[in-house]
Amino acid sequence: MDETEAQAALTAMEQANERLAGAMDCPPWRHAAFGAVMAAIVAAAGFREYFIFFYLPAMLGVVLLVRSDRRRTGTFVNGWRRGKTLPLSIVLMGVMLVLIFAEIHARLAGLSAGTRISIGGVAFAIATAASVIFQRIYLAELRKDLRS
Amino acid sequence: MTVQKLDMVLHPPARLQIAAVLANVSEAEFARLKDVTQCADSVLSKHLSALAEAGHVTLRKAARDGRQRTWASLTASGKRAFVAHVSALQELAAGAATIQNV
Repeated sequence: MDETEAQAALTAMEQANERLAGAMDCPPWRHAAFGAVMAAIVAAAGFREYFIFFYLPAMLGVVLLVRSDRRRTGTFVNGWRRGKTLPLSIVLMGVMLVLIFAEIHARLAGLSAGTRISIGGVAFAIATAASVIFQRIYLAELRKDLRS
Repeated sequence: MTVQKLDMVLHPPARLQIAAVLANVSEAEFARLKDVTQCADSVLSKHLSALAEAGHVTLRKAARDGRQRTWASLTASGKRAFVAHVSALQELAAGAATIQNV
């Protein structure tokens, strides 16, 4: 194999990655749905008496999102994949844990349901934004120049 | 200077493309791989079988909408082989090394 053949092989890989990036469509509702799932998990900690009404739909949501992703893109991408998206996933997990503890604290301190729902709202906004950012980082990684 | 070795199982462009896709996803369906590599069904099947035989890829069947569909994923050894192969290609393309085929 010579230099030209190696260049051609790298170009073929870049074309494959570009085609994959073109197929990895992630509509706005998908980002919002992920945000809703994370918000339900966080809110479940603040409403112990209604825990099951938050937690079960959240788990069902996870299953439906994975199924929808597989159907829409013909792939499955683990959020904990190695690469440039991993730091974001770790930060998101940390923030969600902080919000879960905030929910527990709000419940134990007897704060209003409105306060606890607001914490869930914050979780929704952060998780939705994280999903959008994850997608951007992932696509940029797919489209990187392999020859540089 | 010989630095890395090319993996001849990954050498054909279609197999390299399959590995490139699988390196970026946890799993990919046959139809997606076909779309990306632009291979015919039979050709793609042969490439996937060769990659599976070499231990680079695992294949599984799953039913959807009443049809069996094939899903492929890269194994840990396949991932290592792919990274080494790409690294070798990059060095060769940069003119920094001579590469030995295995």
